[in-house]
Amino acid sequence: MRDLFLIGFLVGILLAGFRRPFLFVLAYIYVDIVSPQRLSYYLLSSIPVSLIVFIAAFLGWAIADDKTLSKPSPRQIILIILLLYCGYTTATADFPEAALEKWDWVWKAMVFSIFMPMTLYTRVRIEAVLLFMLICMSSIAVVGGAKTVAGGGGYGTLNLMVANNSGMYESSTISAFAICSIPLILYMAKYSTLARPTIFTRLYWYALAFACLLIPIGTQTRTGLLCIVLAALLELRAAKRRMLYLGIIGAIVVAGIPFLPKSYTQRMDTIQGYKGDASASTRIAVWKWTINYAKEHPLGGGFAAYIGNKLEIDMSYKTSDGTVVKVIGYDAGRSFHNAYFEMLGEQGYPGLLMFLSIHLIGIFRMESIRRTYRKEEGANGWVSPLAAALQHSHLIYMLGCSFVGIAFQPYIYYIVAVEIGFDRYVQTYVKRRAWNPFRKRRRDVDADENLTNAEIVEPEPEPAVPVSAAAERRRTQPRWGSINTN
Amino acid sequence: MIDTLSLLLAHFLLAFVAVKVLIHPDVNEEPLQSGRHFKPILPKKPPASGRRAGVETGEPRPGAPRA
Repeated sequence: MRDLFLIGFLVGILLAGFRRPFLFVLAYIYVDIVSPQRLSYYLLSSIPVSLIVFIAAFLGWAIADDKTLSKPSPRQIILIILLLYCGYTTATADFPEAALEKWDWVWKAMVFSIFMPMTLYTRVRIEAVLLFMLICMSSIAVVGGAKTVAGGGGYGTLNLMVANNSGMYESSTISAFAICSIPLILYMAKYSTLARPTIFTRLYWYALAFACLLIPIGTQTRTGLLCIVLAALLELRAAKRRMLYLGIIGAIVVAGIPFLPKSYTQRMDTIQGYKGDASASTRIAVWKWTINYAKEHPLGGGFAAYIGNKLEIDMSYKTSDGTVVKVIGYDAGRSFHNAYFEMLGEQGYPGLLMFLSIHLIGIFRMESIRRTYRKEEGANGWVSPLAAALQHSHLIYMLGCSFVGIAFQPYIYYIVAVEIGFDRYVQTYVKRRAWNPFRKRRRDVDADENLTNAEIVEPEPEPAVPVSAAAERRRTQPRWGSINTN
Repeated sequence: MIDTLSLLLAHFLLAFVAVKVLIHPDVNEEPLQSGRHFKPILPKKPPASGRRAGVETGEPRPGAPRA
């Protein structure tokens, strides 16, 4: 029954795509995040759904869309170079089979993020992509939130519809992305034009934000807690009534802590002392190993290079009477647990540099737009809040990815793609009215042009025939009505 | 149960957005805003009274030294 429903929905949206080809792009986002092929038991799981939908999206754009704004932006060029570089490191990987397995989904995510900005040239399209991303993510977050409320949480045990703890359904990954979606959810609650802000839509968006906040509690991930703290700080920057905001946050924290499960508070306590915690100590050991590995392999070891690590983990701890108990653990083949080290180990220094430039340029551009259009009201009043929401999401991701290896997760590449499309949209359609000391006003440009033209124009030659006596008199004698001073 | 309801809700909302995109007139072209912006002007305040104090009515104006 579930299979039939999922197939019916997918077929319906693809049929509608023949009327509006942009729906193919939305269908790809749906297939990538919700993964109906993973949710279904037999029918969809045997078809390469994402490949079919991607081809449809590309053909739809090639045939029907406006391509005048398709010039690649610098970030798209960096993404293309990164994609080619990843292909190179895969070909020369230390563990070719494991590398190929990861390359199989990474290249799709990157190609789509390079392609998507070319389709985002209207506000409706930008919003539709964001709405699809958020609602698709909600299909996981609502399940997680509801089960957390019902008391079915636990790290790696919170059942998010699929049995395997991988991809977007992995505990730390969904925690980071659920929190990173909150600024976008709050934006939609206020400014969406496709789902206009009414009492029902607002109720839904706030309930979804609450469900997202519950995900780190349900999955008991420390990453999620840190992301929540950062999200609260960033929203403080955007809040108009800051004292009221601080009061509400304080009240929620005070009222909410007694309801948290004991296992959650115990796990969060391990943030302070990492040495006693096996997971945190292992991460530190992997990061040290990665730095040494990058010294030997500055161009990276290809995807899944972490398989080769052999770790000696320091898990010493101090007992209550002050005795230091020295414990050394041994492990091998532990994953990076950090996107920056993931890039360093797998793609080397060039890959890390490209990764950082893609994300930092995005954050910088959004800050620039946010500041430039901060005082805009009316038709362009949504520009600055969207830039702020995208930037906050990006910053939360940058923190979250310090504890999870999510450097190539498609969700963040969608955010990058939306930022590129939105940036171009702003430069194209939203007029610059902000004060800019380097701006040349139109009238100054016109005046300069007129001046140059005037210089170029040759003075009229003197007439060869002398002017008539009457004309000469008109020129020299005072005209009628003037005072004769003689 | 929770899984199914959540999936149904998400798909209903996705279908809603898809239909909105399907029928929206501005999906493929951004509507061009005119460069003209009009300042909203409120209706003029009516005069408080028809006749002014002073010469017209013969009444003393407020603050006037003589009656």
